[in-house]
Amino acid sequence: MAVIVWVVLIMTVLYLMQGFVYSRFGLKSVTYSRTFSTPRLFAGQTVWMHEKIANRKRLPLPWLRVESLLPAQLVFTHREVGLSINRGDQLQNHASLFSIPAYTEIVRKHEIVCPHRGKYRITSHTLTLGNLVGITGKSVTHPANCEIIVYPRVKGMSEFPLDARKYLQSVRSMNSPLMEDHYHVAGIRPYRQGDSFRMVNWNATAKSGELLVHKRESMQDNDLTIILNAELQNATHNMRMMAEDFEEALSYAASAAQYIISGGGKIGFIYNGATEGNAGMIFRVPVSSGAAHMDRLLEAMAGFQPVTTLGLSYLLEQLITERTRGLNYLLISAFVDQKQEQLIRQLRSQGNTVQLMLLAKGGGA
Amino acid sequence: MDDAIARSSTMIRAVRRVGIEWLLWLPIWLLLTANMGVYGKFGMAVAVAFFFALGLGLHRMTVLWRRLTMIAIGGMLIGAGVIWFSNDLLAVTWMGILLWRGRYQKLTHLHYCLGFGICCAVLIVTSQSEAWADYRLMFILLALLWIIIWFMALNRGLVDDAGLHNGIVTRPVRQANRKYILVFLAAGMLIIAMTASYGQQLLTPKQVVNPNNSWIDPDRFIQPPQSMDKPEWMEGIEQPGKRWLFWDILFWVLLVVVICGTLWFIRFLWINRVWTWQGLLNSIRKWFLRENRPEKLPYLEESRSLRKEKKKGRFESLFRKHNRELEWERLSNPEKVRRLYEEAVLTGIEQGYTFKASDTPSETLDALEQWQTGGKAHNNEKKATYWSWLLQVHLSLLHLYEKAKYSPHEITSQDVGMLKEIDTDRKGNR
Repeated sequence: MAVIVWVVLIMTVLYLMQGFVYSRFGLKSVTYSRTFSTPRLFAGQTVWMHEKIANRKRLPLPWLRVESLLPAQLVFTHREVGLSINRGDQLQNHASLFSIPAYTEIVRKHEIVCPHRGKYRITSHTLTLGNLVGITGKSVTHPANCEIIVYPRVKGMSEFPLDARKYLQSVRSMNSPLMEDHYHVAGIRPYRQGDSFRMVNWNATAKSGELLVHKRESMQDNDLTIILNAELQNATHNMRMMAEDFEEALSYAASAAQYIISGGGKIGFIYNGATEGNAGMIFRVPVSSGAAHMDRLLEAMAGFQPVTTLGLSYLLEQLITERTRGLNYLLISAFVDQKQEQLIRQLRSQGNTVQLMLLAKGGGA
Repeated sequence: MDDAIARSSTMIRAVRRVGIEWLLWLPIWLLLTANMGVYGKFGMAVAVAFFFALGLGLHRMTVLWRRLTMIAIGGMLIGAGVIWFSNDLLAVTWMGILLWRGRYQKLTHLHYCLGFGICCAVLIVTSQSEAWADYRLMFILLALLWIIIWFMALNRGLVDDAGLHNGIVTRPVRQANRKYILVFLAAGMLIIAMTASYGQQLLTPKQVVNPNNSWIDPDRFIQPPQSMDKPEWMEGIEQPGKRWLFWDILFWVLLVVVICGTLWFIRFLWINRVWTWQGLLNSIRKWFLRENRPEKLPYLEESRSLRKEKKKGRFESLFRKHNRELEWERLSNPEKVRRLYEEAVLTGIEQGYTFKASDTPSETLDALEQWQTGGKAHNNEKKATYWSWLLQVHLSLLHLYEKAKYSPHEITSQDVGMLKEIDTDRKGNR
């Protein structure tokens, strides 16, 4: 009887001791990080998510569970076995279980497909430790700063409707962009947003009282400003565009921008919807060229939300009042009503070209 | 075909479950059948298996029918026990318990805990009589076996819980946890083995020998134990020292079965010797490959040791001097000169000299001397040795260092030896 009590006593003491050691020192010198193989990619591409965990002490960790909430839009390619993922509409709970010997670093690489555009962040992870017996011990939550930006899917020119494709090709193949910096001045024109102040013709400005800049042949027609309409509903025609169609519109916008920039042209962008971090304001970027500009545009597009901040009619009226001339506009929208058609005609009559790209069938007035 | 396989696997699982249940109750069976003959023992063993299998079978019925049937059988058992087997009422009750336990289709760690508890209970009971002395070791070993299985099953269940029952527990994780729990148990067993006698002495109640409740050492004053009378329920128990007929029969039956099986296997091998040997070899190869085959995981995993990054502890520092001497032997002559220069400057820096990276070696050594003569250096005995050494070797060290660093000329071992001797003398004087 005494021996049995002694056995139970010893085992209890041992159990308590190891439990104390693991709760006190278990998570000491344990580091965990989660990174993506590339921080930016286009929708539909795959990326590797790296989980790196290191135990820099003598005490081995029998099991250590790492849980984190990931955006549900990140889809694990091999999720049939060995992965604990509970998906919701917005978030999914991802858990990994490790057994880490002393002074060991383990790197796990998960292949993830990003089918949807967006900016995805992982803000925290929870580490839970098990002791020698296997009983769940200490649990801590650490903040994390892991972000991946998924750009809209880029289409090939063959996927564009014929008229839009012709228009884009004509814009890109107009006067050589190499001639943009030519010193010959062909005339004067009103100042446009994005023009350098070096181009201002001060004499003409002083005479006319309006800010005028030197007009160069090669610069006026090779620019394209994309107007993306965020309105998904048309009360006049009782029509509604789905979120997938909006993504399609964004994809067209991104593709057109990339096509023009890759040809050496300049791109401006106007979006009358909400962007991440700038709710209530329209997104407007002056025309500019170069890969860096394209990256900025794509990053902004990743944060576009299908929420209208300014109606298309008001936006077009605003553009008309700016009295711009010689600009090329590509208007991507689901619907256009009679008033908007009227405004588009007015914009054209000011000396601009406007190409309408309607996504919904029968979306015209 | 699939149905047949599923049915056979269910049968095998059920048979295994009955076998384990029988092993759980083995000490009770031994205890209750101690005064029975061979047929009685055999009959009781069969009854144990039968009632538990019946309980398992009842589980296939609907809840209502199962409960009704169980109550009916239980009632019949109690009735039969009261009317016909009043002497064996304990055994009859046990059968009822076995019938009830049929509800546990799957074994969990609690069942192994029950096995351990049964062994402990039987040990306590049998410790009352010296007639069971030979059996105690078996009960202890069985209890140890159950405690190991209990903890392993507990660990397995806990690791599954840790994996949220979602299949994230990989084979390496499971194996590692099994290893850790075995280490824990081994440590526990070792401590128990080393301290059991002390614990027994500590926990045995000491006898009160005087009315004033004063405790005294039992080893000195307690009288040797008197022989105890057998309890009533153990009356008629045979002396369990001699071999039972049942074990003899079982032994011979098993021997015959083993011989027949061996003969059959040899004949089988001889008839199909080519195919069989190839099959055997293939099976063995497959088995090894299966063991080494990596688990199919939905991710890639790499692990590396961080021991190289580990900080050197006190233990390692004991060998550092030895390693340093080995390193010195491996250096070339110019490297040795540079090492001596480096050590000289480092010693000065340790004493407070501010090193300027823009100074040439000549300027550095001059600055060191000036700094010392300016009285800024510490003037204890240890430091004095260093400064006297530096003054002694200043020129030769500088010459050799410049030669080693900037010129293609060779440095002889004699030159290094001269510098090293002076340096050794300095270190010896510390």
